[in-house]
Amino acid sequence: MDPTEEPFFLPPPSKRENQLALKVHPLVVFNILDHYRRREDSQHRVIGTLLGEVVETSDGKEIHIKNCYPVPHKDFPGNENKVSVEIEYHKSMAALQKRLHPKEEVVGWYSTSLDITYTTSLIHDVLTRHSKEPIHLVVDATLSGHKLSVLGYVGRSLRVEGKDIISQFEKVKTEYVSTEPAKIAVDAMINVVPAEPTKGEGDEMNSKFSPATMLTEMESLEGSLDSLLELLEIVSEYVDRVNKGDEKSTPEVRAAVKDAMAAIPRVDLDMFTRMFNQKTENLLMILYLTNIVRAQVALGNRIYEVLE
Amino acid sequence: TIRTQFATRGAGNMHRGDYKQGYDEKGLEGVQIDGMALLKIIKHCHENKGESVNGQLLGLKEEGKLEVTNSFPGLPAEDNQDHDAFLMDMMKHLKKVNVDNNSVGWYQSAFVGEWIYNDIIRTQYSFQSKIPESVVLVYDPYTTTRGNLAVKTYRLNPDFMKFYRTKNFTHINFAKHHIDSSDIFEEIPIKIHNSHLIHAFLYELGEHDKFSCQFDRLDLTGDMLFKRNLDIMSSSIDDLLQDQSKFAYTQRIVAREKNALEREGKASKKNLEELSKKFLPRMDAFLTAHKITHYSGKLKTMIGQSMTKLFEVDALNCEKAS
Repeated sequence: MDPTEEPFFLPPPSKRENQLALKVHPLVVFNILDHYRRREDSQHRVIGTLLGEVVETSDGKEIHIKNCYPVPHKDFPGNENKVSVEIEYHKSMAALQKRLHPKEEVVGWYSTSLDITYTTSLIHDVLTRHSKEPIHLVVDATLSGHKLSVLGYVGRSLRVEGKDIISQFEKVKTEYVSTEPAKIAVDAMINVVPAEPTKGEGDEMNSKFSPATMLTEMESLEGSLDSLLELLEIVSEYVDRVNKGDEKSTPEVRAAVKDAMAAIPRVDLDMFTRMFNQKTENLLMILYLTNIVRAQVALGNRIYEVLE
Repeated sequence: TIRTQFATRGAGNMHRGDYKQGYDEKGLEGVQIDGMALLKIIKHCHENKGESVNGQLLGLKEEGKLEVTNSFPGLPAEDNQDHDAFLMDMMKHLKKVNVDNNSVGWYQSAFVGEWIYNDIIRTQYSFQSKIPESVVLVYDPYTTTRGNLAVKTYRLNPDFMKFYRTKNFTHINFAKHHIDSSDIFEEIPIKIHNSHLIHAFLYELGEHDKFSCQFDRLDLTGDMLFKRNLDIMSSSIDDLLQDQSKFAYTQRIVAREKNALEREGKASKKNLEELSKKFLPRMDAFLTAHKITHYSGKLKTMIGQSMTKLFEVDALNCEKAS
């Protein structure tokens, strides 16, 4: 990207009184990518509105982007300075979303195109009229540079003689954040077992596209235990190598290993055996009760058939 | 009570002509849900963790398979405005951006882990009669902790559908249709589906340790969940006992009246039929029994996990002692 071609993208100023940080929830990116997938064939990019909350912290402001929705628009390939956006749709959908999530407000808008041009400024002005710090989020769905970049910008209008003429976009620190259940869902999705590739399509890519089964609780527990074992083995091999003299250890690593070993609570063997037995007994008792109840209910079901 | 405003209205707008007699015998092999729809459901249920909330599932249906590609929440309880209008409005907006416009079911958050209520059955029944492949997705925000994702889809058993249609809930009818208390809901396996682009994004997320639940799962403090499940089970057992005594009581009354009729020689067919109407509807008892079976299953899984973790701690400590 030739800097001379992009008069509206400037690097952030080195000193900032008000640090602004963007926290993006994964759902937002999922939504954007899904919208991109469903776009009309003629469109090469899609836009939409971002919803979220502004939180004031001691370091400055944090803008949490929690949700978003698509907004239909049209680009005119021949004319670079023209774009049409359905404002009515944006406003009515914002009202609907407000009824569902009263705490969320419009904090900005998104686009899937990395180019920041004159039209970007126009759209920015129109969609974020009511937000104090309007955010522009770019999700690169074309995967340029072999990664899926998600960049956040804040738009500041440049004023000349009292009139806003154009917006200037400054890059803002963006990071991912999520609630615990969303994190669990994302983790489940990362660790799915992909479906067997269908016959005739030996291509592994296709197997990723078909629906994948989630791991059951026992399988994921097994996975966790395996990772723990792996980590323990790595550390113990390292310690062996250091003892033999093959490798030098650093003070940080030594402190970390000491901390890890100290994390196992020191319990008197007697006490531990007692606790362990107690717990096991509790679990076995629950298992026994559960089985009895289940058998009883099943029996009760059969009796109804006999009754009449 | 649980708000089920999508009961007839949501289902009623789509596919009115599709319902054919005998269509509900078709089984459903699996439900495929898009990652995005799942995240939306999780977000909605967690924002309203204290109450039970519901919403619509949108997607496509094919032979024996259901695809859920999107979802949206239902209005909160405080909002008194017209739900129908909201539904139509939302659908119109989504259609404009090429989102699948078909309603394929609904979702419900499990309130304190319980979700087997009469209202749920009624809603699912009306959904399923109009759209035979529809499912109810139950998400439990309380059990989704420490690396476990508690989401399941259910559908009413076809035999149960036939039985429910008769609206006769006496125990005789239950026996005639061979309905067991465990036959009410059948669980449909879920699979997750994500497009290639989203897989690319998941790769990016996987790089951050923030999204890994590997070591959350090894947490040992699961006792509260056990306690809660056991509490629910024991109160269900109490309910069942109460119902049993009521049932025994009505049976005795009916038997007495029958004897009286026979003694007086008035045991005509009509009188006997009138008498049979006095039988107690057994639906609640069956629901309770189903609930109990469901919870025993859940407890067993939890016990399995806890035992494994206990023995792991034991192993670590033995190493130390030796």
